[in-house]
Amino acid sequence: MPGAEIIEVNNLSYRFPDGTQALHQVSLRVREKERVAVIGPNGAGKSTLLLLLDGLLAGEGRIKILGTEVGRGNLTHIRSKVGLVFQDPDDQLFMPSVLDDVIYGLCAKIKSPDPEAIEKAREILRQLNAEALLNRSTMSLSLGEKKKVALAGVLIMEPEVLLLDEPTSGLDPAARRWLISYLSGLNRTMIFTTHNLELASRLAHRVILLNAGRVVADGPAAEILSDEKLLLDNGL
Amino acid sequence: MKDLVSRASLRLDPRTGLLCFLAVLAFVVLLPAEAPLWKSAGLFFLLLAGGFAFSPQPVKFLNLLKKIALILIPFIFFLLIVSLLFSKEPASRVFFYLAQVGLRSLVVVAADLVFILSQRTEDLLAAMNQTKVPAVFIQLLNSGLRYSNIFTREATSSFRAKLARDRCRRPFFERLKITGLIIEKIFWRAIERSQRIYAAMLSRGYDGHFYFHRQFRLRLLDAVVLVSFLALLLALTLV
Repeated sequence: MPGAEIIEVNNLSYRFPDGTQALHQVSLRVREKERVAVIGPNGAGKSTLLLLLDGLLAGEGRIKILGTEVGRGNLTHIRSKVGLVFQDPDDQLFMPSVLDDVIYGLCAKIKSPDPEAIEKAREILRQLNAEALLNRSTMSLSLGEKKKVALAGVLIMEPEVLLLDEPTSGLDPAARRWLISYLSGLNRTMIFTTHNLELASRLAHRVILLNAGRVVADGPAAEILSDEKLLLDNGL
Repeated sequence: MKDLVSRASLRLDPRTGLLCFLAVLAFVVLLPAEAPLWKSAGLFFLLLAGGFAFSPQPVKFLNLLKKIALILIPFIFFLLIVSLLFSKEPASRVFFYLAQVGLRSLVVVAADLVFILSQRTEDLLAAMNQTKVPAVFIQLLNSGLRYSNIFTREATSSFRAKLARDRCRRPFFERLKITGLIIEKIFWRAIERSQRIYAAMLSRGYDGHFYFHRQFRLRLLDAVVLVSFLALLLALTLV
């Protein structure tokens, strides 16, 4: 069950370089081991929120993760605690082989990775039912396989907070079901964005509804997801 | 808001912008090398003032100009070294010619910002089509812009994803290698994406031509701006 508050976001705003306001005065709290779904229509600011939480964008306002304020001076520290899985796995996979890519975050040497790192990669991939991919090229994988490898590349870093951007997008129903059951077995703090209300209802303890960069609703998953009018009014 | 509206009403027909830009290019190329420096400097400051006064985002305009102008510094520096090493002219003449090159480059950059980059790309392409610019040129420009847009987006996402997993400082050559791998991957992805776009174009009946339905009509303002600007350039050339 969720414990102490480990993520605090206060009055977070972000404007894209072209002037579009992506987030406006967003405040939220996330507890340890809590699984939070951020839902909302396209352009609501969901992915931007995750990029801000990982310090990949700098906005106005305050973000505190595990007692450390997210800022220019401590991004390496923040990123060692927070793992972000991108929506498009092609953005994430840049090493030629699956093994090289999965162990990238371990700071292992590229030419001669140590056996411990290889074993760790094998173990993570085994957990993801993807051990057979270990020596494959990242270029020749299917979307589902790429998603697994991208997730493995983040999980191997053992982040305390896991951020997932649309984890089930583009997956077939079987792969989606498998991923939901795998993620619900991970005992860690998780914030994920999704359009998939089934994923939100099965995985999240709490749901935050964003629309046009503002928090429209924040509450228990069952309560928010059963409010049909609220969802329809906000493009879901 | 009123200010923005009044500025918007001063937006030029893209063809006027194109013609003014071409006239600036002709001025820069045809002005004799021995021409006094004030001519280029005067035109530069005029463009600067015009861009600042009529841009809806004057600060952004100046920042963009500054950024692009910074690219010129290594170029001028390179020319300076080569000229000082190999030119038989006295140093004062070398500096004079370099000032000419620098100022004229700035004029082209400012004119580009004021007349070309201030236009919407789709308007510019439609205007070029209306002005009977060869179709192959418009298609190359359109595809090139689309490709560079895809490439930029892919690059931003990929480097962001790398940054998210960067927990340690790696040796220089390892960083170089990783950057090379990312660039290679982005390149291949951009090609794949371009092929998909091309397939989609073919499936929608692409026959080697782009059709632009937007037609522009020159207004009195355009004629006034065009004639005044050409007269100014002519005067600067002849004085």
